[in-house]
Formats: sequence, structure tokens, C-alpha cells
Amino acid sequence: MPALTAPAVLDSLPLVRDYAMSRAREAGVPDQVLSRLDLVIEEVFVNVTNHAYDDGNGDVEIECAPSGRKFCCTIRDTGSPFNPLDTPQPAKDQDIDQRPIGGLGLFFVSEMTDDRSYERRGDTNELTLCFFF
Amino acid sequence: MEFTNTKNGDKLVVAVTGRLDAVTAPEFDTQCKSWLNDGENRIIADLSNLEYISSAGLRSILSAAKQLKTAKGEIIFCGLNGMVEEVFTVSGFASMFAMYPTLDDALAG
Repeated sequence: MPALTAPAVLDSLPLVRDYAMSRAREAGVPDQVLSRLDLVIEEVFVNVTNHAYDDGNGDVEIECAPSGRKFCCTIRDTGSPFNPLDTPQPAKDQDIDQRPIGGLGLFFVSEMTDDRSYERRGDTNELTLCFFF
Repeated sequence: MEFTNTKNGDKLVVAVTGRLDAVTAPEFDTQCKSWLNDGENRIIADLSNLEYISSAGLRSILSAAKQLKTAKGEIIFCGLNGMVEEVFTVSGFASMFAMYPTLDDALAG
């Protein structure tokens, strides 16, 4: 299955999500894992659309690799170097007044995947996220 | 995403259905503005038919909660299930807000 390349804008989210979810369904990924994949894909994609490209112009590439009871997605962009796995834990014991808005998207990426890795390859950020089922 | 609002005493029950994601979250922000404009500051969000929520949805919820609190009100939640419940738990939102299994429980407070 070829990779999907889409402009890094919010309007591309349904396309990118449908691509990953279709590949996962074909691979027999169960519903509970599908909903985690759904979430993680949105969080990674939205982060790229918001932060990767200073001028707002650039693409995101997504490639899915099922193998046995493991399903991995690799997401690539050619924006500023950024490791989305290197983010602080949110403070979860604060009340409504204290708790800052935001900071959860990339936390979910780490929390909801079974295996994950980041590499900067030349001018490309490459993030691989895997789910076991 | 759809909202169905039902008045119950001094509370407004808001049933949210569909997906609360980066694309639809601004609709939640708009709803929150209209609650405040209408003087509704006691909100019960019934999420039993919400299929999906992401960090963008949580962002809108926390923003609404802060505004309602400033207006001397609150937002409480009922009916969470599946991935929505998991996201509330993992994020710590489940312990930050009053959560009830059913709408009847939430109305009984």
C-alpha cells in the first residue's frame, strides 16, 4: 500500500484519518485499538499543521505497515526539527482554575501507543507509532 | 457533532453527539458562548452518545469550565463510555470534574 501525502492543513485531517483507519481495519486491528489510533493520528497531524512549517506551506506523509499483530504508522514532515515524544508530562492534579489549557495532545501520543520512535533524517522528521493487538 | 439542549430546573442538559475533534471543537466554543449569553451557568454535559474526543475537545471543555466558574457556575458530566471515558481518565479530567454514570444520577447531584 503506497504512502499518503497531503498538505499540512487541518482540512486534510479527514483524509489522513480515513487512510490510517482503513489500513488498520484491513489489518484486523480491533475497535479499542482503532480508537486509540484515531486519536493519536489526529494529535500528531494537528501538531504538524500548527507547528512544523513557519510559512504554513508543507506536506505530511503517512505510511502504514501492518505485520502480524502489530500495526505501525510512520508520519513524516520536512518542517523544523521537532521530537514530539520529548514533551513534559501534564500536571494532572490541578483544579479547574489552576490547570493550564493545552499540553495534552502529544501526551496522548506517548500514552496511547505501545511503541514509538522519532528520528530526524536529513530534512525530515520521522515519527513511527506502533500498536500491538 | 450535534447539541441537544434541554432545560431542567436551573440546569441546562446538553447532549453532545458525534465527534469532538480539532475540526468540530470551535462549535463547542460557540455553544459555550451562547450558554453564557443566555445566563445558563449550570451545565450538565451528557456525553453518552459522544463517539470520540481529542485534546482539542478537552481544550474547549476546560476553557468552558473556566468561563462557567468565573460566572459562578459549573459544568458536570455524565454517560461517558468507550474511548471518551479513557481520554478523560488518562488526561486527569475525570478527577477534575464531577462525573456521573447516568443523566439521572447527574440531575440528582
